[in-house]
Amino acid sequence: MDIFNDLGAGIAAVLTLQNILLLAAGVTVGMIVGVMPGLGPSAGLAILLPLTFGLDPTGAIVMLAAVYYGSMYGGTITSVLINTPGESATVASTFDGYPLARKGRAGPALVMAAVASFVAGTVGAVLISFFAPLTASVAKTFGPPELFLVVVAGLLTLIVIVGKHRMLGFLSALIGFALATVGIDVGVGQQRYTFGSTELINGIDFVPVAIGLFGVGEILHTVWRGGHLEKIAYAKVSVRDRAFWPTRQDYRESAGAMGRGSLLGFFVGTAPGAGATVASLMSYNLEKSVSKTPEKFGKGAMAGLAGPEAANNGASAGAMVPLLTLGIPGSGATAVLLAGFLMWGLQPGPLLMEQNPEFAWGLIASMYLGNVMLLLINVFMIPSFASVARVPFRILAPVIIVLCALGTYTVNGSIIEVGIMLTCGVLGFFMRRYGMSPAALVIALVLGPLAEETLRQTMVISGGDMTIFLRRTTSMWLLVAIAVLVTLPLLSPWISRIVRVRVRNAGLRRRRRERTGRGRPGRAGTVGTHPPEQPHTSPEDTQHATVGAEPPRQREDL
Amino acid sequence: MRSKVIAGLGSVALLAALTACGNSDGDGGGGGGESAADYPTEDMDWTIAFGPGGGNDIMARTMVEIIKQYELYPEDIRLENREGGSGATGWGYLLNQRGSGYGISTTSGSFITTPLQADTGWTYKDFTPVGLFATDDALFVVPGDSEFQTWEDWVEHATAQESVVVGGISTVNVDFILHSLIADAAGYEIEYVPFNEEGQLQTALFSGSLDAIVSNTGSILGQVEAEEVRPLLYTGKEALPALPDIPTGEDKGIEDLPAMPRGMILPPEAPAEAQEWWINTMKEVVETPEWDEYIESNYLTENVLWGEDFMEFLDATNEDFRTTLEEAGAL
Amino acid sequence: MSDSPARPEVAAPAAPAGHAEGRPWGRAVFFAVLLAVLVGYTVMAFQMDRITGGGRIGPGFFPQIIGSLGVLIAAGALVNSLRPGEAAVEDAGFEEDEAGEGDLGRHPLALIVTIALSGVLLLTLNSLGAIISSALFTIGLLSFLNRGRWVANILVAVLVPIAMYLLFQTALNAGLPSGLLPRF
Repeated sequence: MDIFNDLGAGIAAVLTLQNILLLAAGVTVGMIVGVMPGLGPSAGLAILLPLTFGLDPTGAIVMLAAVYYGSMYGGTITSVLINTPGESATVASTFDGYPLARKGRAGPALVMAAVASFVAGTVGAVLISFFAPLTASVAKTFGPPELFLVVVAGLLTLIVIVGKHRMLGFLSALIGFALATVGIDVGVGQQRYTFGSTELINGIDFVPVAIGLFGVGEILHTVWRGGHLEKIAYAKVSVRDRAFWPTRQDYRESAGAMGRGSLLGFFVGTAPGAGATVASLMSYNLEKSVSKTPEKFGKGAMAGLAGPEAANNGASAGAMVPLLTLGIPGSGATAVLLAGFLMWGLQPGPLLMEQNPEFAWGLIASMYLGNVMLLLINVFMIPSFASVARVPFRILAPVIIVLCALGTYTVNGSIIEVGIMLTCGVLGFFMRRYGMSPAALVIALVLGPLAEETLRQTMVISGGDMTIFLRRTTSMWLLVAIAVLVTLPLLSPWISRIVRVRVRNAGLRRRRRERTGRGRPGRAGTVGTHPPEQPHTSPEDTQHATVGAEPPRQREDL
Repeated sequence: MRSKVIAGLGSVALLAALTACGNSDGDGGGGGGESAADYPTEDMDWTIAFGPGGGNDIMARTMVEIIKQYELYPEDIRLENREGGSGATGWGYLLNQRGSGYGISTTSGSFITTPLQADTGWTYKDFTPVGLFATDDALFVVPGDSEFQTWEDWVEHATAQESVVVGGISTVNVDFILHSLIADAAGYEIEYVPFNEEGQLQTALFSGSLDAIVSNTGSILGQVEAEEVRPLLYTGKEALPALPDIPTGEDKGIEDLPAMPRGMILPPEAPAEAQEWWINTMKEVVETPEWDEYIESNYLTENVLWGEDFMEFLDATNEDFRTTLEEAGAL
Repeated sequence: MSDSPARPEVAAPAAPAGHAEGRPWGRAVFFAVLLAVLVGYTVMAFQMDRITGGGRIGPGFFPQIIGSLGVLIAAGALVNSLRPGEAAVEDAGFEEDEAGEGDLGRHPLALIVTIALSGVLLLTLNSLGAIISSALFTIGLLSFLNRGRWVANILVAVLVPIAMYLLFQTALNAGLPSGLLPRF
């Protein structure tokens, strides 16, 4: 097949000694850049772009793809270890990644994130190879009405993550939306809530807010409850527990999440705009909806980390589709890549793949190899990263605050943003203390402006007619998808009840057979409490439902 | 535990050192021995008022590459993206370097429009002009499968409608001014949809949401070549070499269409020797083949003006922008 | 538009004062401050156009909705927090996820010291430069949190800022203020 030939040729072109070294260097440097709060993939690419001008285009693209994936993963590392997302696409990774680290499972969490990224990268590379033209023709139908619906789908995540204090969670989101209205209004160019400050014209950036709310807020909260007095280390990695590897059960719990996340991420990522962020949030939403143990989410569910991680990597592969096939950048990072294309004398556009096949396929191949390299390097690096979790909190606290402050400063060289960051740290502390949801605030801040902008664009286009959403094919499909996403959590208790009855029957039958065998199955591995909505089942049945979960999972996938 | 911390820090420092080795131009020290009258003796602090990947960023980085390649600047040049407030942050930073000859920045359309729109504390008049090198003209395009083959087809259609839906980047910007001026001259009404990103703008056109857009030549030409979009009008003074058949605004009786000024400025009250040094140096830069290649590959219109001539150009552009925006009610 | 004193992003620092006054009050003060900010936000929102001249969604449309809902919920939360029994019960609920980590008490002083030192870091970052300012912050906070271990504290306070500076500025050329020290 042509595609295999092309991809094979791409990989062959990339596999020189120089390029492999560049891959390794790029992944490592990218990871270090990504670990710095504030510096995400687009900043990493921009910083390192000039370094690649000395290289041939293939070498340069190899290096940049490696930096791209390295820095994406770097953002995950901080999300998991210190609760600080470096960019909006890794916010969802803090929800369960950080609780995992606090439970002493930083190692398995990081490995699982790397595996999920690898799986999604592989799926993405394959999907690009086969479906790029098809996906591109769908991506071309994404005007403002469709983008609005995609953003709405992302905002639906708020329902899932606000937690048990619904009203306070909703209030947190409203604060996020309110912060999002600061700056020039895109509709008519009027300034809102800028108070004459030029720094606020472009609005309040996500980076300082997220770093403050999550990173510094967490530190302040831990200081307040005496974390510095703890004799045990910050994240309680016991000396005996040197198993940095996820258990078989972790993989079993995450396999479905990775698969769904990869596909979801890829297709959402092809829509220009907030692809990776929306994708990772939708994936979290989806995983919690289909999970048999949704109450574990937010307390360290492996699937809650693997899904979003796969989705955000899948989305970065998806974002390459409009870049390569349409010449349209779908994300900040691909916009920098596009600038790189120009500098290497390539004309981005729909003809790029035809006119420079070796380059385009080289890029796809290096994305794939970048993922392989990431996984390999991670095997060596994760233990040292994870050991951060063993530094006592009283020493870690000032170091993290300095890191957050300097990281925020470097983004735009703005001391005001450092101020916003520290203020948000204090706000984050009080929000946590009084049951509000920093995550809802950040999601609202990121997606709010996009929702407003695209809705207002839509209304100008349609002349104020809401039926425009029903008159366009793609937006109809998106409405259907949203309807499914909304009804899934409502239906899932019903579905899982049916499943549970079947499992119980199967379990009863099996127990009848094994009556003389060993007693209760071991509890090993299940941290979860019993799902509250099933008082009629005995503990053993729950055990079967949560642990031996293969058949029901497949059923739910249908 | 303590030793582990230190070992960890050691490895971070080592990595830092390793990455620093890859960055061979990192030598920023020295240069203090010469007399004060000599220029330059210090590192240059080069502000890019926009994020990475944009037109301004590409131009600045190209210039610095050329300057380094020909070893025109004896000390180090530190490039920094100071993004925010549509240029207000970056140029505000340059404003604060008042009197210094060691701050520098490049301009774009926002250099004029941002102060018109917001109280930035500066206008283009505050800065010391070095020169204008090029203008960034735009193409007026419709979807490739549209029925309009020529500018006349479009105008006929547009004037027959109550209004047409057109798109561009942001509200107070060159794109909006172009749409307003063109629609006024041709006699049709527009509903203008502002976008924040080029990618979303182009997809909106493809998706059938918009009737037409304007876009910088460099960012849309790939789509033109693939016949995804059809150019109907070019806003430059002379026909674009790459698309000689596309009429210019003047061909169709639409005069004085503005363009993004791609120039260079120093801080307010910069020393005369600094201004002179940069004018002379940039005169060399614009003669290099690398610069020609940049102009060509980004489809800019070369338009070289030095010092005060550049300032006069900015005066005229500012006046045009202000009147158009006021008429359209955007200010 | 710029005459209102309420600024969402500077409102939070006012809140720490409420904290020291004891638990139920801290909660009430927090929501009171939040309510005040949201009222200011909403008042300004109603000074903007809800609908543009052309009949489209105007700049004030969403702020008015956001502000009104926010005021309602914040007021509800404030009323709730003032009801004596209620607040205590809910307060306990919020700290549920800390269960099992060992109750080490509450440390408002440590919190205030951390916030105050962060403020100093912010104010001195540009004038003293990244290295000196973060070194002072680190040694200050460490001498409070990690008392008595001078050698380790000084080592961390000197090496960490230098390492970060090398990484950000020297290796990545990402722009940190050099302040009193020469740039390297």
